[in-house]
Amino acid sequence: MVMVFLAMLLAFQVPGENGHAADRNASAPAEYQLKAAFVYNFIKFVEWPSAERLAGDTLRICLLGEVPTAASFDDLNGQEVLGRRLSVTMLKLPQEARSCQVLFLAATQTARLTEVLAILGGAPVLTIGDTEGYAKRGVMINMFLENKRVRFEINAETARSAELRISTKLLKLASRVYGAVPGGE
Amino acid sequence: MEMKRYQQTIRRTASCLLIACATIMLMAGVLSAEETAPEGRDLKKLSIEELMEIEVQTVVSASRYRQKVSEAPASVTIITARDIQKFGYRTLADILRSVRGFYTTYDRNYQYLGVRGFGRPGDNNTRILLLVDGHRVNDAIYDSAAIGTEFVLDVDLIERVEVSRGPGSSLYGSNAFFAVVNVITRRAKDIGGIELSAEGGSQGTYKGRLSYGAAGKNGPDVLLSATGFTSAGDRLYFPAYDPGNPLADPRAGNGGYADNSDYDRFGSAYAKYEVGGLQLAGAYIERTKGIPTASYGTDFNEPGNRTTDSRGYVDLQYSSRFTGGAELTLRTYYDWYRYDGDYLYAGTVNKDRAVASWYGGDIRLTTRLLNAHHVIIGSEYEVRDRQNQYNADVSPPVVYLDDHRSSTKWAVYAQDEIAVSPIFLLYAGIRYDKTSTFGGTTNPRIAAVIKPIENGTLKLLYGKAFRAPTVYELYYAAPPQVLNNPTLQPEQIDTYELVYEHDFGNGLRASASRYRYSIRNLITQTYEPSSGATSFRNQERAEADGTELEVQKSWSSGADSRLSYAYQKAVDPKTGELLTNAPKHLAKLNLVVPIIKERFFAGIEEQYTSPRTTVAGQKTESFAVTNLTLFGRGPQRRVEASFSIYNVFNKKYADPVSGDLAPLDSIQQDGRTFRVKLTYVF
Repeated sequence: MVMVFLAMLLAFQVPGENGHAADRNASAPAEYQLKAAFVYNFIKFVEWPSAERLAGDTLRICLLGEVPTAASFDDLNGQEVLGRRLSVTMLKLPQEARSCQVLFLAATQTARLTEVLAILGGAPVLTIGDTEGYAKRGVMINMFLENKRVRFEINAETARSAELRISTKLLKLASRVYGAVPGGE
Repeated sequence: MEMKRYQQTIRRTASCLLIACATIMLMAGVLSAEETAPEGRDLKKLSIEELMEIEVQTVVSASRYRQKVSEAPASVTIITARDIQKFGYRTLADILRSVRGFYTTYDRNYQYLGVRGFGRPGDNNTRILLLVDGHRVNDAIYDSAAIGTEFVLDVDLIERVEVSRGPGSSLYGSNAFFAVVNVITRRAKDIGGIELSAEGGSQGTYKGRLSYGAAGKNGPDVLLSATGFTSAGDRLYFPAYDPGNPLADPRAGNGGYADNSDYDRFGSAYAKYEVGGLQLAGAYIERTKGIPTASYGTDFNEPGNRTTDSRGYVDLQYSSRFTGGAELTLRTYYDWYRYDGDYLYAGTVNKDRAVASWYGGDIRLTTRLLNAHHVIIGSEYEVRDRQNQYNADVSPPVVYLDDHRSSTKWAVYAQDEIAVSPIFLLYAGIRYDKTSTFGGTTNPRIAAVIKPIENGTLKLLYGKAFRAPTVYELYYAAPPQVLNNPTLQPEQIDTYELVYEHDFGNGLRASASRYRYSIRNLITQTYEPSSGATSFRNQERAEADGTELEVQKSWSSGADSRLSYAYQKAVDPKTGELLTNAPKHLAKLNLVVPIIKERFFAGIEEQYTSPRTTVAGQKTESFAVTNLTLFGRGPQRRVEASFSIYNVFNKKYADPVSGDLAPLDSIQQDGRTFRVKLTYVF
């Protein structure tokens, strides 16, 4: 019986490719695993200004504040998006954010959000958050949970001021868009 | 010889499981090194539209509002519809048997659940609270949680089962003693059309189901379903009833065989109507089971011995969400239950009957206050207008019991989830229940959920829970042998738990927990030698100490595994002896192996139970049961088929039973059985 048992265990040593999204046979993912995947996807739909594009082939994703299970974002490290390699860093001070291309702001930054956004000024940094009210307050893409699924809202105004071009596809998928949407792309 | 053999079995199965555990951990290491995308499933490869379809894992039962499993003030296990398909679960008992630390006992009439080493034969599943979408399933006569074929919902209609371990009376009141099991139903749009399902299996078992589910765009979601089930059962042999056996019971006959007495059949229906924040749901089941065990001193090999349980309810709920995140839920319901037992004594039919109906309403408000507080307050009121019990012989007509009762109960509760710091949640809850039968009881719960390190969660819990005396325990009487006891008080349990859960990433999660509980005023049927009468009394106590370990690993290929081990020592503090039907060790392994990705899977289950003491002082042998299900689905999920083999190695094992089945002390369970199932969606 032990042998049959072991045989069955060893039988499924097939790493294989990845599951289709429609089949939820794997256990439901943890919240931040899912949000990190969204961040990875958002990057694909945002165009940084040409000056920024020439600056190097690393795309820095910075985390500011206490992000629950930041390890989920670590998974993005080394991944390639649009010819650029991702690197994930935890920041201690908002001043360091100007050298990032993407800045994820944790819920703990609520109190000083205005200050942080002011420090960024019009720098081409894609700001992302997952706290209620962040988009209204200027964060460019804010994620939230609705019926256990991740949704997001966009602040097109601040994105435009930072010379970041958010594709219409992403704008269409957003639950809410703050600020005037430019006509077509 | 028996001693050595079962020691060998323990050693073999234990080492088997240890090897399994080691292999899984090893493979976790091997596979994570090979994969470029180490998460259980590589979410990054999905498009945004696909990501938007995925649900985050949450639980509603632990705090009566939706929250992350890691933040819940309880150790929670979730079994999903996918698990039910892939492991071929036929009843809620099959589902719960796979849960860490849970075990079942079947006396060929009802399935009984044991939790944390407590599962006294003769008890009626009164110490777990069973809910369907938050609606209480425990009836108003026996407070019994139906988990066998008498459970009101077809398992195919289950979206997921949330098992919140530990005391839940601070939110739910009576019967949330060891656990709260909340069965969440599937959504109408998940059925998306007409679903026809047919099953056939060993022992002449057949089940047919027709379901319809449609979701309107802004309009109502409607779900309708009806199921019919029949099983001829097994031809069972009992040495105690074999006339060839010199020590046979005087009722022995038919060579010790009970023919045509193990039948099981039911008809059930379910309907759910949802529009906006309103939900109207109704369920009904009528189930009849033959009693092949000549229980209660009835005639042996008599197919006329049977019990019929009918249960139904209608539940109307309205939820409204306000800006700021507050949510108000109002609910009203009407329930009914009927039990009919036919018992034959030397050809005379004795009818045992119970009828109950009850209705009530509750209101619940959850809201966030002052940034750091997530508060829930609620109130419930229930009228039990009929709680009648009856017992009489048909011919010559003698009425032994004709008892009519009614009662009311109300409760008020509150819980605060305080975010003391980003890594520390404190829960404090309390509930007051007042019942017209015994008075009032207050039950608090306090829990700390701390994240000491990244990906690790520590939970410390203390809770008090109670179980109200049932109308059966209070008033069932057939003098002079059976007397009632209207002065019964509720049972009480104090539980302390320490749980640590860790997410290693790469789809690997593990948890370890320790608990201790102490029960007093345990309601027990006691026998008074002087008068020769039995009655229920708040007489005993029980204490237990337990340790549980669980490891889960999921792979991007779709493979999934769960391995658990539970050690529990439940004793009578007066004597220090292990309780009856209290296994010290339970180990379980569940494995899903994709054979053809997305299309064809194998679900393997291995469950080990250590020896259990019976009512007569014997010990049942330890055993390990293996179940295998092959599950396949066609393109676009129009067709699904499965083939299951239960107890693959035809292991002979027995469950201890109550004294009501004397001279039987333990009942042998089924050997190898099969089931074929086909589902078609139009």
